[in-house]
Amino acid sequence: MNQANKSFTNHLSRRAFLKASAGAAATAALAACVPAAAPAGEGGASEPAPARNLTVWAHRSFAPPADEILLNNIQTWATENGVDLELVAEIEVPTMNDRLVAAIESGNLPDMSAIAGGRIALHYPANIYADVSDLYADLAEEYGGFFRPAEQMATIDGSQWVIPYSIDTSLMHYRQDILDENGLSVPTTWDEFVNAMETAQNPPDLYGAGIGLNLAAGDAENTFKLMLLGFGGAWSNEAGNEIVINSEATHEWLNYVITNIWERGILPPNAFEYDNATNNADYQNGSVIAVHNPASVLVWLLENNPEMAANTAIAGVPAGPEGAFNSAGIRVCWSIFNSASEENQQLSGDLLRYLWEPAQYEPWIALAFASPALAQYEEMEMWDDPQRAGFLEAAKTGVLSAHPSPITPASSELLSRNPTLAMVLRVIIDEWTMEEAIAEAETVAMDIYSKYDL
Amino acid sequence: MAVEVSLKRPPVSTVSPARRQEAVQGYLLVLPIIVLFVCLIFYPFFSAIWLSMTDKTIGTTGDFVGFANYRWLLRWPDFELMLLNTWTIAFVGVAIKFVVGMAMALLLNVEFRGRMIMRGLFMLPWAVPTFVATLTWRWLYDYQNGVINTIATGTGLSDTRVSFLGNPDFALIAVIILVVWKGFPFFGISYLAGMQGIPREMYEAAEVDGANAWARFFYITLPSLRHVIMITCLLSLIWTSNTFEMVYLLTGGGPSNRTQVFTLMTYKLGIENMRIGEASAVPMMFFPLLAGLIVIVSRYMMKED
Repeated sequence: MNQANKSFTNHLSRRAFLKASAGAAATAALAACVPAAAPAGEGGASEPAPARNLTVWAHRSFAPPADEILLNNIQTWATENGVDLELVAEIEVPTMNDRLVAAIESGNLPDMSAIAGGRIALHYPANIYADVSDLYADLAEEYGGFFRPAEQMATIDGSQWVIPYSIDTSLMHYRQDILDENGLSVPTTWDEFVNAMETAQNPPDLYGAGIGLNLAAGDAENTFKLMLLGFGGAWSNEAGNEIVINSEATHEWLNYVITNIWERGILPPNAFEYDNATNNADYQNGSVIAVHNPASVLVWLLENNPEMAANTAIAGVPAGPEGAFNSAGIRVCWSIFNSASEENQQLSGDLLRYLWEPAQYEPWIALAFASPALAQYEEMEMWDDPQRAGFLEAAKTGVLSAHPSPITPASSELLSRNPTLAMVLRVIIDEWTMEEAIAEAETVAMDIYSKYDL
Repeated sequence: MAVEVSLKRPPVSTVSPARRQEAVQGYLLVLPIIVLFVCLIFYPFFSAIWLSMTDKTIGTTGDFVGFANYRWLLRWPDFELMLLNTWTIAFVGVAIKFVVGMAMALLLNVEFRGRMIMRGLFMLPWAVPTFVATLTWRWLYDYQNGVINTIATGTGLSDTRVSFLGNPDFALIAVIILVVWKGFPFFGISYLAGMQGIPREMYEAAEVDGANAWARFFYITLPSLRHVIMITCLLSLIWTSNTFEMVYLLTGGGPSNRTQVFTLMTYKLGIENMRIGEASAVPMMFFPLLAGLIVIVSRYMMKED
C-alpha cells in the first residue's frame, strides 16, 4: 500500500465510510429517478420516438431450417418496424408448455407466443388470451379461409383465441422396397396391414409395425385412437359431455388389437420402452417396416438417408370397419396475451399479418414439413409431390384428438393420460380381461369429466 | 370534602432495562431465521396444504373443496401401485446404498497405494449431473444400441436383445440400480468421515482382547457410526422418495405404470394437466409418513444426546 492510500485509510473511520456510502447510494437512487436528459446535439427540442418493445416466445421444431426462416422473419419485421424485440426461441414444445404454465401462474407472460394446439383448451379457463377474432377473420378472407381442423382448434365459445399457423398430421410411413420385395401393396385396411406386416417382417432383425406399447408413447396413443374411431368407437359423444367408451365397438377394437396387432407378433420386442423418438429411430435404422408418425421421420431421411426416403411410401391410417381417420393437430398456433398492452397487442397482430404473407410463409412451409392452415397455400407446387400430398390431404380432412367432440379442458386432461393405449396395456402387461380394461377406462374418463362443468 | 387520593405506586417491572435490551437484541438476532423460516418453509407448506383443498387450476383462483382431491386421488387407478413403487425405490434403494456405501468406506479407510485416486473415482456418480447419469444409464439399457445388449449379443452371451426398460418385472429394478449408483457415494463418504473419527485405541484394545474383524466392525465401527447412519439413511430416504428426474427420464413411469412414482404424478397433474389442487394433494398424502420418520429419528438423536 502506498503512502497516500495508507493515509486515506487511516483517516476514514468506519462511521465516516458508512455515511459516505449511504450518501452515494442516495445520490444514485435519486439520479435513477430523474428522467434521462436528451443527449446534446440530438435535437433535444424534438420528442424522442417512444421505444417499442415486444416479447415473443417461439418454439423449436423437428425442422431446424424452417425454424431459422421463421425466426429470421420475426427479426426482420422487428428491425423494419423499429421494434426492440425480445425473442425467446431456443426451447422444444414440451419445455415451452412447462414454461407457459409457470408464466400463466406468475402472471408474467410475453406479449405473444407460439402455443401447441393441444394446450389451448387447458389455458382457456385462465383467461389469458386476447380475442383475435378480427385478425382471424381478416386472414381468412385474405388467404381463402382456414382449414376445418384449424378453425375447430382456434374457436372456443364462438370466438377465435389463437391464429393457427400450420397443421400437423401423422401418417403411415412404409418401407416401399420391402413391400415390393414381398409382392405387397400399401395397406388400406387394418386386415391388410396386419397381413402385410406379418408377411414382410423377418424377426429378430426386422419387425412389422413400430407402434409403442408404453404410456410415454404419444404417437401410439394417436394410432390406437384413430384405429378405435375406425372401429366405430369414441371416448365421448359429439357434444363432449358424455363418456361413451364402454361400447360394443370398443370391445371389437380392443379384441382386434390383442388378437392381431399383439398376438401375431408384428410389434418389436422393445415396443414396451418406446417413446415418441424410439419409433422414429427404429424406422430410420431399418428395424421396422412401418410407423405412424408426423413428417419428422421423412425430414430426417431426406437429410441423412435419401435412399430410404425415396423408398418410403406415405399413406393414411388403415381403415377399420367404420372407415378411416387421420389426425390433425396444430403444432404452431400464435396467441396474443391479453396482459400485453393495447399497443403491443396491435404490434403482435401486425407481426402475424407479416408472417402470413407469401414471401415469408412459402419458404417456411416448404421446409417445415407441416401443412398450411390457410387454403391459399395448398396451391403451392410442392403439394404435387406424392410424399407430401398426403400430409396436405390429412390436414384438410383430419380429425382433432377429441373427435367427435371438440377439444375441451376435460378431454385434454383425459387424453393427456394416453387412455386408449392404457386399455391395451392393461390387457397385455397387467393381464386384465378386456372387459375390466374397458370398464376401468370408462370409470377414469367419467371421473375426470365429472370435475368439469360440461 | 376530603378527596381520597390514591398514592399507589405503579407496578415496577421486575425486568431490568439491561435485561430487556438484551432480550430485544436476542429477538433481533433470531429474527432473520424466523423470517426465513416463515417465508421458505411455513408459508409454502401451509400454502400447499391449502392448495390441496382447492380445485385451483393454473391461472385461476380455485374454490375450497375440502378433501375432494384426496378422495379423487384414492380412486385413481394404480394409486396403490404408485405408493408401493415410491416406497420400494426409497427403502430398497437406501438399504442397498447403505451396504454399498459402507463397503466403500471400509475399503477407503484402509491405507493403500492410490487411495486418493480411488476416493475421487468413487465420488464420480455423486458428482455427475442427474440427467447426464440417467441418460447414460438409459443408453446402457437401450434395446437397439445399448451397451449391455451390444456386448451380450456381440460376445455370444445372448442370441437375442433384451428390452430391459420395457420388461414390467425389470423396469423398477433398473430404476433402483440407477438410484443406488447415483447415491451410494454420499453414504460412503459420510461413513468414511465418521470412521476417521473413531479412536484407533478402541480397535487396538479390541484386538488385544481377541476380537476378529467382524467383531470389531459390529461392536466398534457400527455403534460409533450410528448417528451418521441414521442421518444418511433419513436424508437419503427423503431424497430418494422425492426422485423425479431419474424415473421421468429412464422409464417415464412405464411400462404400464410399473415405475410410476408420486413425483411423476404430481408433475403430470400439476404441469401437464394444470390441476394444481390435485397435484398438491399427492405429496401431502406422503407427508405423514415422512414426518413420522423425522420425528422418530429426531427423538432417537435427542435421547442419545
